[in-house]
Amino acid sequence: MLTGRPMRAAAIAVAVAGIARPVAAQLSGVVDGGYAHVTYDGFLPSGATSLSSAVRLEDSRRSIAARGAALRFESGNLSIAGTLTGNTFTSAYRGFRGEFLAALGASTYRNLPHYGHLTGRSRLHYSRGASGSWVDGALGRNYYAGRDRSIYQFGTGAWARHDLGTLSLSAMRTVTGDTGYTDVEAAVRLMRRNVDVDVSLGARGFSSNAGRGVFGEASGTLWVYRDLGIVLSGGRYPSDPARGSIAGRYVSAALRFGSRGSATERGIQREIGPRRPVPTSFSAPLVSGLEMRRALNGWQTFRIQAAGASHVEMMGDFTEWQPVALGRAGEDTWEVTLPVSVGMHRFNVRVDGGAWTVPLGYASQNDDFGGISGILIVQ
Amino acid sequence: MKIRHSALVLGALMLGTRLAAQEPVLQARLDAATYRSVSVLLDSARVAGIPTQSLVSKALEGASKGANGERIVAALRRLSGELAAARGALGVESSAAEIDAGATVLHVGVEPRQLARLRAARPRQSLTIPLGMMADLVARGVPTDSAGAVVLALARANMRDEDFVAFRRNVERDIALGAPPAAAASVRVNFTTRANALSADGPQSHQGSPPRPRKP
Repeated sequence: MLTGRPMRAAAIAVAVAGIARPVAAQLSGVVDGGYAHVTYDGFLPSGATSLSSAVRLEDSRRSIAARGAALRFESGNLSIAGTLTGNTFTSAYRGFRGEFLAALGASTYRNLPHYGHLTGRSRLHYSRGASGSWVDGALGRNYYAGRDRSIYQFGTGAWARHDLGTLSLSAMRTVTGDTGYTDVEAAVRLMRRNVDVDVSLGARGFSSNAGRGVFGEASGTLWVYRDLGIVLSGGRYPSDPARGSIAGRYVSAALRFGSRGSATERGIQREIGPRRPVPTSFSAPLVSGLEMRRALNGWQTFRIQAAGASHVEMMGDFTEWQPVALGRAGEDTWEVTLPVSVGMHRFNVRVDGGAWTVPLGYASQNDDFGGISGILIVQ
Repeated sequence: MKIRHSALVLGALMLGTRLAAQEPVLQARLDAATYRSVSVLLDSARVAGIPTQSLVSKALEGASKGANGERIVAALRRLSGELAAARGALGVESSAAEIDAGATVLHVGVEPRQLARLRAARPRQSLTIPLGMMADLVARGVPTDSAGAVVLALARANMRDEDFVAFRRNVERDIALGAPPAAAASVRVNFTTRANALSADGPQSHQGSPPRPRKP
């Protein structure tokens, strides 16, 4: 599914294609390799090497594109994401043009469950001269940890081209599961001589379980050769519950091999940013911490941080693997006191009836039942 | 002969009593066919001297996680083998908790000979915490041979259980700060054993702020 800047770029590209002459199918590709310093919400800052690529086959009426991105963090953990998109659009009629898009994507990070999404989108473009607008709606499903949810999106936008570059404005309402939010974003793309600059600024509001706030990103590409550029970028981006990514900040530097100004190059812009490694809170609120402190007579008090959770449970060999509900001990904090003997134990936690998982920071191992269990050492 | 026969009968009666004590929880949470298979496995384990508590726990875990009977029995068979191997490596006098921790360590890929070396280095003290720490390190990405060597070095330095726990906590923090797992464990063990060697009072807990490992 295309969202944010890639979606906007695709919308503009399609609208421009609508006023262009049909051309033969062409293949374009881009590869970016570089280093990023990332700070995901709920994580410590980390460096990461990144590799991303995109390939696109297109003519004036349709296109298909595949993208992949991989990040290897300092810890050695790997985050991988990939998407496959295709679109086709109708003939223009008095400046109007219809477009149909489908997108399939998946991502995985370390030992967390895989994430996937599938969406279909219809969009109506109107273009006149060097400006245009669109409205669109999308339906889809996403999958995470054995649960799938519907995605509903509808939005509108407008763009205008000038000799200096392109300005676009967009607003998008997204609803998935019990999460809903509206993003409004303005973006400018400038292309001067051998330098491209992309700047975006947005805000999230009308949000339920997806946070609120302002976000922005900037990226500059210096093309040192026809097919070789140096990309510097940074900023803060919001969570993307539809695609299963959390919010984060980053700065990155990369080398780009590919065709300047191609749709592939425009669309990959956000993909080269650090992939967000864990699902957002919409389907399974993140269990970001588990503290254990000794209580009386061999009992231990467990305190769990789970932002946005409404129900938290824990089980382990010390509960005979029977789920035990935790009590609320503050905002996003849950607590329970249980008898736990000295030694090594295995355990799991789950939030809002989701998949049994292991809190961040705890070692985990294969549980023989298709999941993982955490390792707890009580001394 | 008669005495041996009596002992077997007595043993069987004791086993029966223990199984009966476990029946309610297992019977309540497993279907009849799975319960029968699990009971046979538990009996076999008892005959072989393998502690059954972790087998029962694994069966309950599978039931709570919705695994089918076939999968639960397969998991118990695997665990039973690992428990037997752990008991063999750690010695027949090892406690149930040690054997359970040893099986976990074998499950993540540590060689049985590393368990035997650990027992030799710490013959009279419990290995539950050191083995738990070894499993934890491997699960955090420390290679199995490195994790084994690290725990062995700490054991040979006469570290106490609380030192092991403090060590694991420090490695966990270093990894969270971005250090590669193997380097974090290696640097920490060098620091800990050196500090221990320099300490005139013997082993101590080292939770201060030693130099952090450099990033790669």
